[in-house]
Formats: sequence, C-alpha cells, structure tokens
Amino acid sequence: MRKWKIFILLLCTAILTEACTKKESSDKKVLTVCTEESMEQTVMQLGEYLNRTEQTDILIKTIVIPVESQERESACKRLKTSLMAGKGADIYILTEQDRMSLEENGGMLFEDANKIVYNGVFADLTEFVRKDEVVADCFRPVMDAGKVNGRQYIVPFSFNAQIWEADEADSASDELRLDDALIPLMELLEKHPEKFSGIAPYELLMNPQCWNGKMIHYDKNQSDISEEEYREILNGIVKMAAKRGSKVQPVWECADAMYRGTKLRNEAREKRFVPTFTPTGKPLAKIISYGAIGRNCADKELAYKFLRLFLQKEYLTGEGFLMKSKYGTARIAGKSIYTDMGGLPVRLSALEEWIRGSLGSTGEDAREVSDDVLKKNIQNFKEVIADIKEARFQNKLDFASIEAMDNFLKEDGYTYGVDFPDIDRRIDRAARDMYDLAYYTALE
Amino acid sequence: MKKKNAAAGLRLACPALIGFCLFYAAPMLVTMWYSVSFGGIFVGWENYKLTFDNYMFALAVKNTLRFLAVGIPLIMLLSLGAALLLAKPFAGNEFYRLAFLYPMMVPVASTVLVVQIFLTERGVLNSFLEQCGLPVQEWLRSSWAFWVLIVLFLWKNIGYDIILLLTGIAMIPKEYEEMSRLDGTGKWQNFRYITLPLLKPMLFFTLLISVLNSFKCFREAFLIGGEYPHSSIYMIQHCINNNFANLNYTRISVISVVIFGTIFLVAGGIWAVMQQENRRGH
Repeated sequence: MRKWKIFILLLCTAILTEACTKKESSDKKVLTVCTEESMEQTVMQLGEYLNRTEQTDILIKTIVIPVESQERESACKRLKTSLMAGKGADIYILTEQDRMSLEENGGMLFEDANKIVYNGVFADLTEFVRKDEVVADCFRPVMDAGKVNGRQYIVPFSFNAQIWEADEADSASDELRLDDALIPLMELLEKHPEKFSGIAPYELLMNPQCWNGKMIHYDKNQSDISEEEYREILNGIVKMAAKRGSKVQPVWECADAMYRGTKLRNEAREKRFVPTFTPTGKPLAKIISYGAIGRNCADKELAYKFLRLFLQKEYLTGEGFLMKSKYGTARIAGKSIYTDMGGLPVRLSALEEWIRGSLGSTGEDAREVSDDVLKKNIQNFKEVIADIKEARFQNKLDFASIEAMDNFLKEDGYTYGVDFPDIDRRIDRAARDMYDLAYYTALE
Repeated sequence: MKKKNAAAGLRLACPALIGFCLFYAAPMLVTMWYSVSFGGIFVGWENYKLTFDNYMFALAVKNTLRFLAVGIPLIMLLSLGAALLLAKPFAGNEFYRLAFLYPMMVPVASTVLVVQIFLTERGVLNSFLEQCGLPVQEWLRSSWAFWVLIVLFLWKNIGYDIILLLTGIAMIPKEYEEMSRLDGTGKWQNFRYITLPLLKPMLFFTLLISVLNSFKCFREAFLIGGEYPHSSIYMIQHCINNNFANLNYTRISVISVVIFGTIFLVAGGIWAVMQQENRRGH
C-alpha cells in the first residue's frame, strides 16, 4: 500500500511539474523552426530581433537537423514522418550549401524540394508574398521555382549557378558571348563548334554540372531530354576530347558563381562571364537556401514575418541587423549568408553589396584592386546572373550526372579518358544512367 | 457460465486489443483519411485517380504481380518437390534439410554483396564469359535483374517452405500410404490421391507465407539496384520508399490502402478455400 502511495505522489508531482512548464511557455506564442545545425544561432538571433522590432512575443523553438550522419539520418526520418502526419515544424529554414557531402552522410530532409512543393505539406504563402514589396525585388526565375500553379509555397533566399569565366584581355575569349548560352547545347556542338575552341573538352566531360540543365518538368511529369539527346551530347564532347586531347590550355573555365562572387573583390584583372550551356538553352540556377511554412502552422502571418527577415537586405548583403540593447548596439546575423547559408542573394539589387561585403581572399591571395576593375567585374557578373532563365532546387540528378561520368574513368580511378576500345558502350551507359534517373524522377 | 467465460476472455484479450486499436487500427483509419484528402480537405477519389494514372505506380504494380506470378508457383513447386524428396529416408538427409535453411541465416546485405561480386559488369560471371569469347551481359541493369531477384527469393525462402511442407507430410499417417500400396497404387497415384489432398491445408498455409515473404523481397531489389533499379525490378515498395522521401503522403496512403485491401482479399480468399476444403474433409 505504501508503495502505491509513493507512486501516486510521484505521478502527481510529475503532472504538476509538466503543467507548470507548459503554463510558462503558453504565455508566449511559440514558433517551431526546423533548421540545419549551422543556422541555429542565426535563427535564434532573428527571433530575438523580431521580438524587439515588431514588439512580438515569440518563443522560437528550434528543431535542429544534426550534421553527424547517423543522428542526421534518423532525425530526417522522424521529421519526414511528423511532417506527413500534419505535425512537423511551423517554419523550415534550410540550406543545401553542403549538400554534396551531406548526401552521403545522412541525406537531406527534403531530398527533392522540386517535388515536395507539389505534395501539400507546406502552407500557401501567395497572399503574403503578393503584399510584400520585398518579394517584388526578388529574382523572378528563382522565386518561380517555389511556385505550383502560380501559388507560392517555398520562398528561396539564395541560389548558385555555374558560369564560364575568362580574362577580358584575352582576345580568344571573344568567341563566346552571353547569348550563346541561349542556344541548346546539341545545336551548339553541331553547328558552332568554334564556340568551344577556348574550352577544355575534358572539363565538359569531368563536370557535367557545367552543361546539365533543369531536365525535368515536374508539373508535367516529364523529362526535358531523351536518352538519345544525352547520347548525342556525350558523343559530341567525346569527339571533341579525342580530337583536341587533354593538354588544351583553356581560355574559358567553368566556375562556381557563388565562389567567384566572393573572390571578385580581390580580382586584379577584368573578367568576362558567360552562363553555362544547357541542353534546353536556358541557363540554370540552383537554389541553395529557402524557407517554407508547415501547412498546419497556427499563425502563418507571424511565421511569414519571421521568414521574410531572410529576404531583408541586412541579411542578404551580410551586413547584419542592427539591434539595440541596454548595453549598446550590435549587428546580428551578419555574414551568415556567406558562412552558414551560402549562395548569391535572391534579391539581385543586393548582389553588388554582397560582393563588396564578401569575406574575400586572405593571406597571399588578398590584394587591393582598383575600384574601376571591381566595378567592371561586378557589372559583368551581374549581367551573367541576370541572364539566368530558370531555376530549380538541387536534386539527385546533380550527383548522378557526376557519377555517370565515372564511365570515362581510366583504370587508375582518377584520370578521365576517351581512348577506350569500348567507348561507344561507355557513352551509351553514361547516357542511360543520366536519362534513367531523370525519367524516373519525372514520372514518380 | 458462457457469458462469464466470454467476459473473462475479453478482459484477458483487452491489452492486445487496445494495442491493436492504438497501433494498427487507428493509424490505418488515419491513412484511409489521408488517401481521400489533400492538405486536410476531402477530395474524394482524386488521390486514387492520380495514383492509378501514375506511370511508376503502374510499373510497380505490374512488376510486383509479375514477381508474384513467377515466384510463388516456382517456390511452391520446388519446395513441394524438395519436401517430398527429403521426407524419404536416405544418407545425408539431415544435412540437406539444414542446407536449405542456411540461406535464412545469411544477412540480406551479405547475399547481395556476393551477387554483386558475381554479377556486376566486371564480375566473375562476365569475366568468365569474356574468357570463353561469349557476349557479356549487364545482369543487374537489364531485364536479367528480374531473374536474379527471383533466384534470390527462391534461395532465401525455399528452406522455410520446405520445413512447413515436411511438417505437413509428417502428419500424414503412414498407414494410408501402406494401405493404398496393398491396393496396388503406384507412386504418382499415391501422391495424387493421398499425399496431395491431405497436404492441402499446409499447402495453403505455405502459399500464404510465401505471398507475405515475397513482399519482403524489396530489400534484395533495393540492394541490387538502389532507389531506382532497372525497370523490371521496380517494385511497389520502391514506389512507397521514394514517395516517402518526397513526402508524397497522399500517394503512400493510397498505396497502403490498396495493398491492405489486396492482401485482405487474397488472405480472405485463401482462408475461404481452406474452410471449404475443411468442410469437404469432414
């Protein structure tokens, strides 16, 4: 009997404690934010900033997606299940900056946001977005990637692209121009081979990211490219590589726009940029970070207020939000876009400040450049970015296309070649590998 | 007295019943609701229509049915044949009985690893074919993958079926066979008119177990070909798995309800036939 009494007493204490804890937090509005480990601090800081500036009384609770692979895998599974059960977080602030390494180490919460946006797990933000003057300033092709039937479900914050880069002074670079990227790759390879004279063919072979496009029409459940077209492209590249060999000194080099942008501040020479070609002739951007609101979020308006902080210039330029306290003023979430989130700002009007405010090179690479060169480079860089015609979220195709190129690996396991006796079979297989995944992803 | 017993029985079954309702029945009801709603709004049969129109779902259903149509009769025939052989006393009988059970102990991942060593493009089999001057095949990335999966399914599950059928054969009284021999029946007639009818209940049970086991063959298919294997081994579980990754909960719910309905009907059908057979026996 005594044991029972102790048990009941303990039970009552536990219930009372739980009730008191709930009471304490129920005074505030709670917003749960699901985010990557790297973004947690920024999310908390911005919650605090919102409370101060908008006189809201929000308690931000984070659901962190860990970096450690096993923890990450189970956390992602748990979150997916709860999201499908109509629970999950109120807000999702996600970055795919490190997707390449995370893909093999626990995976991503949203493996293909291009598809997930169709599945009714996110709230419709169209009404908020329509009234928001900040969104009107955002880069249209990138924003459109978060829409389904004209309704906005995901708000992209930053994006990246692959671009070709050459020295302005190099006259050989004249052959490639901005408009060339608007010609479909097959046509370019067939009718204008001179356009590739400054490009090392092996770069095209080793890095399919510099010519692979959107490829999938998620709304129509179809692939933009056939296996035959993939084969034609690979055939063209292989022929070019066989003809010109591997010791070509390239004039144009494929560069990561995000990386180039941050280094531009230290670039002493004038640069010329061109978007990378795609099979469809539509230069592509890939979304690096984005936000969305869960469909069952109780206060969507408040959640959107929080979400749009990531679209403010203070955040996108890396300048940081000015926050006053009794101890003085400080900037919060500064540089977060460069370090934690990654990508070029979705508001192109913030691009120049983003470049100028970037961390730049350090050590030996760091050098002061004339403002004229910087201005010219920024102008060229802005032009190439503005030339992007469509965008999508990253997906498995990006990595599968790189794996498909393993078909051209030599026996040493790291050198690429085209001088194999069974080169046709290798081309067929690489084309089929790339097509199969596009086909499956489109149809599923 | 009967009422008292019933109440006691119900009380005893209560924990299991509560568990069943909480962990099976309630989630199934939620799944059914998801299958007819989108974003919390009732949409009728729309999700079913979309799922049935989906090419990949159709492919998965086609492949799963094909797998069942080929795999189940094969495993039933082979296990019955092996059980009949093993029911006879001969030297090394026990060794063979055990040998059929060993595959059940081998983890799926190890099995698939062996398959990959032998059957990948640069695997042992292709090297052998190349040496003999024969054309090589992409065993795991062509329509051959289906047959590789069938062989794996048979190899993995045949032992269990053999044991079940051996038990069934052992339960048939020896006198029946001896009596029929006295009446001058041959081996085939003996099997046709004595063993087979008396083995029917166990055959149905084995059939049911084999059907359920065949649904578990996804692990093998997944390890052979990943999330997107060759189209001949894209199974219904691939469809569920990939749609889970894409949070397509409506489609998963529809597929779950369809699978539940199908298994319910198949199991119900087998049970009904068994009942009929039992009644006929009595």
